[in-house]
Amino acid sequence: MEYFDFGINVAFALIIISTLASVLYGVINWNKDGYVKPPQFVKEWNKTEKEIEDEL
Amino acid sequence: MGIFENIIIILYLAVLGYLGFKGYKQTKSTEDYLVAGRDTHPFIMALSYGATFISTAAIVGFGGVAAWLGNSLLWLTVFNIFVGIFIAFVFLGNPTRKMGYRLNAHTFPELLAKRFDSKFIQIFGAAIILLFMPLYATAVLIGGTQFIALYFGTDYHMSLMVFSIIITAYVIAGGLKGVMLTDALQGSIMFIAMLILVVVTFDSLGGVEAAFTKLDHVWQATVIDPLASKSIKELAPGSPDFMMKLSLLWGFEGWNSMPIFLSKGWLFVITTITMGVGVGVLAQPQLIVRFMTVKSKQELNRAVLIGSVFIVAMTGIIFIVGALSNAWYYEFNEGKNALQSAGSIGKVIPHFINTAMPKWFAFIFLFALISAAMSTLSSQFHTMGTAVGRDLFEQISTKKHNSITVTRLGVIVMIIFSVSLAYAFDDQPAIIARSTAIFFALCASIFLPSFIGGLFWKGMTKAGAISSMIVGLLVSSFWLLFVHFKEAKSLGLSKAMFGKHSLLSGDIIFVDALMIALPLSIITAILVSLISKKMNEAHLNKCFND
Repeated sequence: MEYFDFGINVAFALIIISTLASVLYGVINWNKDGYVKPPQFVKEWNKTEKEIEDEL
Repeated sequence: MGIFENIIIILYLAVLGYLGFKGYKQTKSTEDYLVAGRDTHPFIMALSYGATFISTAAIVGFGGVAAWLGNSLLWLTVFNIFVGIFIAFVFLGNPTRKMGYRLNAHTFPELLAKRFDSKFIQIFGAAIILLFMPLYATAVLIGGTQFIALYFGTDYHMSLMVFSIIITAYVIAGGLKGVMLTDALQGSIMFIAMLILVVVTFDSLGGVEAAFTKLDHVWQATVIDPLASKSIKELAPGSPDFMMKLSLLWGFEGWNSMPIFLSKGWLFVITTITMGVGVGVLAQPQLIVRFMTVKSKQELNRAVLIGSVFIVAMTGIIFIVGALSNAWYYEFNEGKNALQSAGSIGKVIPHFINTAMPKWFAFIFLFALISAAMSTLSSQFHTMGTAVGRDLFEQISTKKHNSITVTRLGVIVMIIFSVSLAYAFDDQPAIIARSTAIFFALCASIFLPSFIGGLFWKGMTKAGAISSMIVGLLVSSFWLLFVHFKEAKSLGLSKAMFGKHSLLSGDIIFVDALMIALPLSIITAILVSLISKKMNEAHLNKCFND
């Protein structure tokens, strides 16, 4: 865009590229999972904590 | 105020109340209260992250700075999207979420502490949060209250009390679930308001091309012609013309241009504004904890899309509108630029909204500003509460306590402290006005090397983490107190001790603390980790393997 200098033009271009990259990343990976089951010790601790909280 | 406005206010408060109550009903365990049960919807997570990130200061403060310094501020938008969203969500989000799961961490200091097997880190992290976040929260609180008092014509202290009570209610009751649900509502209001703002602004200036083209003419007519030959000493310090002359001296050449490379203005825009805020966001405890609130990578992937659109609509629009306000004022206010019309940087956006926008929009925008303040504040109060309760009290105490109760008490203590500060100062003192920049610089210098190193480098040791945190704290504190032209002057310690605002001179005083402290903190983390005792293999397995 001719009314901006080089630095501002680059900023605008990077804003558009970054936004498009983020949107595309979101769309492409929309259903890609990476679920990690909580480890056993976490489950146990949550149970223990719940018991402590109930007692308190 | 008419009946329509009253209905909207009541409706807004009712929905906030409902969401707070929903958060309360869904909060059954510590995990619910501290990390929203780790099953947050991506839409809510992304909007909560964005709304927490964007405070009133970002909209009004930086919007005003854009009116002063022009479109060069768009570099901050580049960093906000690329670093604050893309890098943060794509590269840091999932490792943070997974490590949080594996180690059963509920807060950011707890995550670092468990990764490096150090109670000290948790207490130190909490202390940093408790020392500096209240000032940052107070700045947001004062800003939000001033808007309410101004718009509704109410007393500042009364407005502060009502404002604080509303936030306190849903933070204490709903925990992070309540905070994130209300954040999502507030983020949606902010998003809609910004879209209307940019459309109305371009429309009133005759379209995109006409609007930007006018800026060059306005710069020439209101800055170059009247001020280029004047000495800055002839102008009243702090006056609009003084500020515009200062921008000329700093190397700015127009609202559509970048300042001269490596000039004072360039260093200020790139190091203090762009890097300071743009990189500093990666180490904000109240934002990092949001990565631990989702169930899987899928939610983070979806949040990237939503978050990036939200952030570009926030900072991108307000910076463009801030710069373009100069063209609007020139055309509709007797040939004056924005600063000359509004009086000061901080008044540009509110003045522009009240003067240039229709009345109904001024009311919507007020809601957007209040929402921006509330969403940032609620997250800050929650983070400070967890720092007091979970990270400090529970670590020091020898007895077992109910985490939710302790955290609730912590939230109450920190809200009382922050509100007391805001109560004492109805006008922001220098230290509070600079607290956002101070907090961002400190967080990045202290936490970033340990956070990223902890996630990606198995060789990073406890000694490396602790030493980098201490170096980050010492160097950034020194730079903020004794060197950087803004903070050192505002804090006044250098002047009191050595009789001058900064111990150094020249363009270096325009370089942000983060630019000096962060590299030193990174180097320290690497060197100390290489020479210190490696961490136990079993512990590393627990941190890195499912």
